[in-house]
Amino acid sequence: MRTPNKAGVAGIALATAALMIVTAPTASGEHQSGSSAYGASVGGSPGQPAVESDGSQEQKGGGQVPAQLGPLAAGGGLTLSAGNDRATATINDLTLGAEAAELPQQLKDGLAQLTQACTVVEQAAPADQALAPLNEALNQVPGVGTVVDLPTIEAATVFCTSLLDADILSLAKIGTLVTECNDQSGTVTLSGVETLGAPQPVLVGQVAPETQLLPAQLAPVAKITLNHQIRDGENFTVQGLRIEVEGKEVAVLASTTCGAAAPHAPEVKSETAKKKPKSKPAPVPTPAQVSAPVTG
Amino acid sequence: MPDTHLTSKTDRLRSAVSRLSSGAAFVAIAALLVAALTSCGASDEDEASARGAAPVDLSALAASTTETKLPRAPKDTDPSEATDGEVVHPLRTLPVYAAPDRRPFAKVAPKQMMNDTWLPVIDQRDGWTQVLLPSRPNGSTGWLRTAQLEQRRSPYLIRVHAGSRQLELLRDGAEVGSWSVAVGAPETPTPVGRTFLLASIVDADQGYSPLILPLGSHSDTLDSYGGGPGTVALHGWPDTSVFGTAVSHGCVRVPADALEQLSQVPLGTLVIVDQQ
Repeated sequence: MRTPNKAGVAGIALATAALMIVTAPTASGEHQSGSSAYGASVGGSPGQPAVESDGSQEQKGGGQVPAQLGPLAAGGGLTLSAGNDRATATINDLTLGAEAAELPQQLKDGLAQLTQACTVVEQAAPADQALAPLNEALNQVPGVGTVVDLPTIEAATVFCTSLLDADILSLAKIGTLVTECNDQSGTVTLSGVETLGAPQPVLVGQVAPETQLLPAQLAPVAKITLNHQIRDGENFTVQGLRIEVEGKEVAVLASTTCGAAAPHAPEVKSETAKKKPKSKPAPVPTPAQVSAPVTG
Repeated sequence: MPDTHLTSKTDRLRSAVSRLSSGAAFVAIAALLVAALTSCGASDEDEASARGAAPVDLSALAASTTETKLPRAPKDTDPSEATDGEVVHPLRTLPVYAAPDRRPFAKVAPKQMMNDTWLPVIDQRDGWTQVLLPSRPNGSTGWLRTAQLEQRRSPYLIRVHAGSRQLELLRDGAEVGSWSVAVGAPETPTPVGRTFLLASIVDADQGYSPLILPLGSHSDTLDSYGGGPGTVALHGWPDTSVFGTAVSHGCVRVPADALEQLSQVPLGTLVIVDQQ
């Protein structure tokens, strides 16, 4: 008789313990928060590939950078994870600017001319004589002449040295880009960064929020931001790399969001969460005396 | 690149390069990205306009009214989706853009049919507001600069179910009333999709209703009707036997009590017509 009793007590104890374990987070005031991560979003479209967690279990996924990024970015293996208020998005071996083979022919021709003009800059004596042909060549490249001006020989040589040293097929390479959010904080960490073939050690390691890769004067034309952070109510988003052209978001790479509502909490759709304070009521119309035939 | 290029001159410049190459390289990348994007997508005109160099010549733009066609207007991509009720009023005649920072394709005035213009907001981002427009084709939209708008909110939503010939008036999501109405006949159907209350008018020439509420939409089958451009409207009808039938030329004929309620609904309020 004692054995069954013991078993019964043990069973109750185990069940109680299990119940305590299950209920402990809630009882102690801890809670689960969701999170999500995606690899790339083009033109504001939903990011893909993507993973999402309600916080109860870590979700993992991955894949390749979507082909729609076209000339903006290529290659890149993706690893994604999302769990309890923590998410990561990792891109390996990403090429920005992609392959010249994918660029329009006019642009490729213009680049070839530009490269030739730069060769003249290297060889010209005095070097100032090469400035005019170089700027003329710049203007032959669609889009470049309007954003790049090389008024001095120093600017020209710097520009051309970078260009001549570059593997033009690989405008910029990032060995690893890791975006992570953890509750209301986040980091972006880079390694193996090269631009136009030249290593950029200054960009290796954790990068500060809102790091701009382009000179401020180019901002109306194009912005490339590392570690772009967005707070939206309880949600906190870190975008690893964000490209904007003419004020519009063109692409986002390696984005994570933490703090989405847990499933047992009242579901707050982003539409509601993002809602600004309500506007004043619109006026009740006063009918106008006018003749305007309608379809009847 | 072969080492033969690394002349003493370039060696001398390396120190400058180390200071500036990062910036130059990124300038090159940005230039190429911009070049690639613009050569793949936007037209030269769009590109020029996007740079914002030239002021907009409003006189060269077609006015978005119920009378005009705007074939270049972007199409409403979510024609069955309710909004949060935000509506905007242009503070003066404004250019209407196909996309933020692109070339304007039309203009919109602060008055439509002698009423204040109120347009429903379907999207907002970074200083720009996308609205439904009152012109043909149905579902025309355009972008306006938010700073040039007065923004208010209508708590109402009007749903017209052409299949069941019912009109629902909702306020903050709750039903205010539902009425049996007359909708377009099979040969002149009421166009489905998302539109809005464009105006509130009393038209002495149209004796069938004390009040007419023209919408932003137009008949898909009639280019014009009764001397007008085929504007669809909500209005009353003296013969109550029509309610629940599909007999109109596209307008929605509503009972008197429905019209009374609708007369209190702000202009710009969303009207969603479906086939249900």
